[in-house]
Amino acid sequence: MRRFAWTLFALFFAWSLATTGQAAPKPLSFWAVTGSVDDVAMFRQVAKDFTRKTGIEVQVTPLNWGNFQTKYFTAMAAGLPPDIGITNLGGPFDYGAVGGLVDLREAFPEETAKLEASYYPGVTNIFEIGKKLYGVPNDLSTALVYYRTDIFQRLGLKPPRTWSELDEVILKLEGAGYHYEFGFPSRSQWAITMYTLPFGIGATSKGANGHIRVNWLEPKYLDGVAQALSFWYMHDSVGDDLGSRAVGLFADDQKGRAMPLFITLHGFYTQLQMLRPELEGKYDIVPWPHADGGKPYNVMGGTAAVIFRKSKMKKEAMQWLMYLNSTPALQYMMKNRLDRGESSALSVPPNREVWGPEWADFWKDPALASTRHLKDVMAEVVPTFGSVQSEHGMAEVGRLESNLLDQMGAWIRDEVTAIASSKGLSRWDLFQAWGQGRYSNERKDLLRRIRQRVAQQYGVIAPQAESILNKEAARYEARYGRIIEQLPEYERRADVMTVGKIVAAILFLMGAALVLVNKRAREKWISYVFVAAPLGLSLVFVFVPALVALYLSFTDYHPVLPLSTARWVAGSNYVDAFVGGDLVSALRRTATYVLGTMPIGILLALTIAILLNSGVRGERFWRFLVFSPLVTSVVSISLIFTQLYNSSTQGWLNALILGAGWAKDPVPFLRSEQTFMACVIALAVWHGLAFTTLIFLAGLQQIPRELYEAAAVDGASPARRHRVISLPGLKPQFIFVTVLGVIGGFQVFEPIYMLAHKSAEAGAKFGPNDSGMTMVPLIFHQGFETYEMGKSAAVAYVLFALIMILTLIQFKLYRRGSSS
Amino acid sequence: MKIRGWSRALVYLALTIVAIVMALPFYYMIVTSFKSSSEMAAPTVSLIAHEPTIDPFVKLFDGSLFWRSCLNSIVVAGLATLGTVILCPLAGYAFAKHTFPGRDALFVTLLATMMIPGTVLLVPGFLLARDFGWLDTWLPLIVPGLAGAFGVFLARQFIEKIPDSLIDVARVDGLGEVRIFANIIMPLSKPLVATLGILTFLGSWNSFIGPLLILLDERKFTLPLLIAMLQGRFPGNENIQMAGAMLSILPVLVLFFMFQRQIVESLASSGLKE
Repeated sequence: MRRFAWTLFALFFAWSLATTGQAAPKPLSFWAVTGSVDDVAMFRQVAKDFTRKTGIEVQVTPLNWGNFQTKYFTAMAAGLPPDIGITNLGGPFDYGAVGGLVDLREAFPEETAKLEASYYPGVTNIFEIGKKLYGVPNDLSTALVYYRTDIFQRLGLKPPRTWSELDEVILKLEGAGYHYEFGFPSRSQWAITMYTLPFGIGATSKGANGHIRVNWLEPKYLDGVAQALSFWYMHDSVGDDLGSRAVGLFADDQKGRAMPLFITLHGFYTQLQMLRPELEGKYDIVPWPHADGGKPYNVMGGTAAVIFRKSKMKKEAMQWLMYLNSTPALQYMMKNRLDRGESSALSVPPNREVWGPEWADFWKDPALASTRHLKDVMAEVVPTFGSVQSEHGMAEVGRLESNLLDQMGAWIRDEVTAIASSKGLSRWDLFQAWGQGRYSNERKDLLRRIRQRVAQQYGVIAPQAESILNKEAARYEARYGRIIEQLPEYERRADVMTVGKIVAAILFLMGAALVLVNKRAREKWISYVFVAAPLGLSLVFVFVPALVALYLSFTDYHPVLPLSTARWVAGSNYVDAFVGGDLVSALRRTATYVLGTMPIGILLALTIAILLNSGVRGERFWRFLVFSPLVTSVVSISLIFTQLYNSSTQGWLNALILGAGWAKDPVPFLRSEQTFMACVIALAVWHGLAFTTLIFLAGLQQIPRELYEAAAVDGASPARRHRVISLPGLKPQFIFVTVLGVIGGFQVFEPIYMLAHKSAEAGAKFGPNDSGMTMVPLIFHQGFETYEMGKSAAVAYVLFALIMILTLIQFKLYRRGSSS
Repeated sequence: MKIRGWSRALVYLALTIVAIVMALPFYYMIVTSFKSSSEMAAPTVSLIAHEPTIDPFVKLFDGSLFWRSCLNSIVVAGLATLGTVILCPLAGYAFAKHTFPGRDALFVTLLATMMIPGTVLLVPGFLLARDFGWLDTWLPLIVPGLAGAFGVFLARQFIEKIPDSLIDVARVDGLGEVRIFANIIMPLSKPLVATLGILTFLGSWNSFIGPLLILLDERKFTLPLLIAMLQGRFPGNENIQMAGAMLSILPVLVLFFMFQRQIVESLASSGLKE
């Protein structure tokens, strides 16, 4: 009996051990980049059905369009990627190239073949590296032409179906006093493909010997670029995100303000239906016009689905992917997306069945009646979707081209302004005049010069781009291609923590030994305990990382790969930083920022401090107003300023400027490299003013009042009193403010990040033509956008050295100043 | 000094201009946050909300984890502050009032960390957090700053001024070092604690680049991160973005209004390093 009880107990014990060791089944983790919370609810609903059918739980996590790339890379670097993710169209190539993804064709040949057959041909090309397929398209989008039928009829205009018709329509509209808007970020490389791919010319092509050729000097490519630039800059297009105002401007009829032609993404259609139902029947859409002499082509935007290599549930992930592509799921998502009030949008899956006869019954649903027209137009568009084949190093090359487009835009804007002012007109007057056929010689001449300059400038960057692409391809071949094959082996080797641990352990042991050997030290052990926290923390989180950064700056480490794959490259990161020019321009921009903020900030702060110190009534009230930015986060403030800086006439600053007659045309504040940095500086001065004023005010209050009174008795004017008494008395404050200004100024980041729309636009640069790429943005860009941790660390060390040198120089100067 | 007549009027005029410039962005924020989507879609600029609505706020709460991120920020900034106001005076006390071998060398070493700009540590800090398994947790946002060199420096400066005699008397009474710190130093260091607390809390509350690199899961986002993401979460919906900005700014401004003197003095003392 007793023995039995023991046996029973032992069995129970063993059973409970076995079951507790077994983790509860983990849900499939699914990340989706999306602009909408409704999408998350939708995916959760689809996941519920999926769970009912398969028993597999799915956990849905939303990601933001602005920083999903950083998130995916961070997760891969940490070894915590989701099982399956929705990313941008470039994601499969980017993450596949560093070994983060599953090759779908190899891992799931049957399912992948089935999926590929269900899409229109050509849409999966961009997800391939060699024969490997790293992703499939998910939900796509494209630009359509929206036009007001009533206004077009009144002016005798036809909807444009070719570029030359589009050009003519815009001219005639402007001639009649109406605006036109190109409603999405137009400076990126993919926007250029709208004009070049109709001629079958991608940015690059590959020769038989594997040599990559950049096609930028093909005459048709250059024509396309010139065409694009003239659409963007030789009209009164705002080129900024108009937000919900776009609806108002499109629905408006008043000349000089209304915008009856709008090229934007297909989502605008449903937004218009919801916010302006009374406009029904007064507008229509057509697909993006064909190139004259090119084939019908529509550039594809949107999202792709990928499965991660580190996933332990790849099979389940594929099941989920297949389910997302199944008819019931597609139909559910279609209906769900169209049933969201103001934020409804048509989803555009790449699956043929959606647009073909298979779904005819589905579209007959009366609830979808209002969308049927949009669907018919999209059915014409979707089969012509295409995109550019990606290459290693394309991100850098894209930046090169995109910056050139920004420069060209600024140049064209200046030229137009020059022509306008030579006639005594505003830019808008000139556009109207061009539309009425006046000054057409000047217009033709400018078009000719644009072509010329495009050809000349592309001639400069094409060889650079070609060498970057071939160098990157070779580097990939030589380094990462092989590393990715042997990743598991590398992953067993040392990581940063091991290095850090060793360093920390040695230092700790040395310290401990010293204390133990020394008798006096041993008696004072409690003192060491008291100071242990700051010393330990600074050892682990400052000194060790600083050493690690120094080591990294001599390697070519990629954070997604284990540290053991880092290769010693000696000083080449430092050399590249200086020779490549990125660092030098970043230094120049940083200097502009520091010199732009400090003198003005100090002068203003000093003035305000003197005003506040002059015995005014209600001092508490004034102080509260002036000091309020002290406690507000620069991120929130930047969000406000981004809206104040809107480039349209609806932006408050522009409304003020135009209303006061200080300018004839709205200023493209954040969309022009000439003004971007000035906007950052103004914001920084505004936000920093409070602290500087506070320091000066504290200093002024320490100066004895008797000094001023004595001076007043001597007959000194107020201005003189301040020059003789206040300024010398504030010397410590001046030192402090300038030293802090330089240190802080060299590390500016948040306002630039925010004003550049980095958190909202995928692939946004740090301002037009990278004009906001100062030191820390450069460190951020290289470390967390192109993942060249070595280069990033090298730049960080240059910054470190510079701050040290500048601080020392300042102290030296002040010391000399005080001794004389 | 008193000024009169025209120059006095001029002072008020100048102050009014300054006040308008400082208040305008806040005014824009408040007005916009109460505009409806259809009013935002009007083709003209309007300086007031004609049909004020709380719709943007409702949408903000529905469409983002706003309150959650507030709570997260409070927890993160709160823990960082709590650690700082204990650990910094503790070390500052030892550095100011104890003599032990290596004291000055250790203090200088600690001060040296202030020379290394935080941005130099972005990349290695990220890798360190990764290898600690701390990515997507709040630990990298709290732990490294628990006892910063600047805080210790401030604490040492402050505690040095506490008369030695007080401590000597306590020692004669047989109080241990921990008790001396807790019962004598801390009660006398209330202004120090306030300053350290305010500086640390504000710094942590407003920090952005760290959370941006470290946090993945939206449920763990701190407030500035959530605010930055509003542009992408509600693209084109400027009224909702402003509703978020307002809710992130207003409570802090109210607190600032209430504790203006303490906060201003704390910030000013960070500037008087002598």
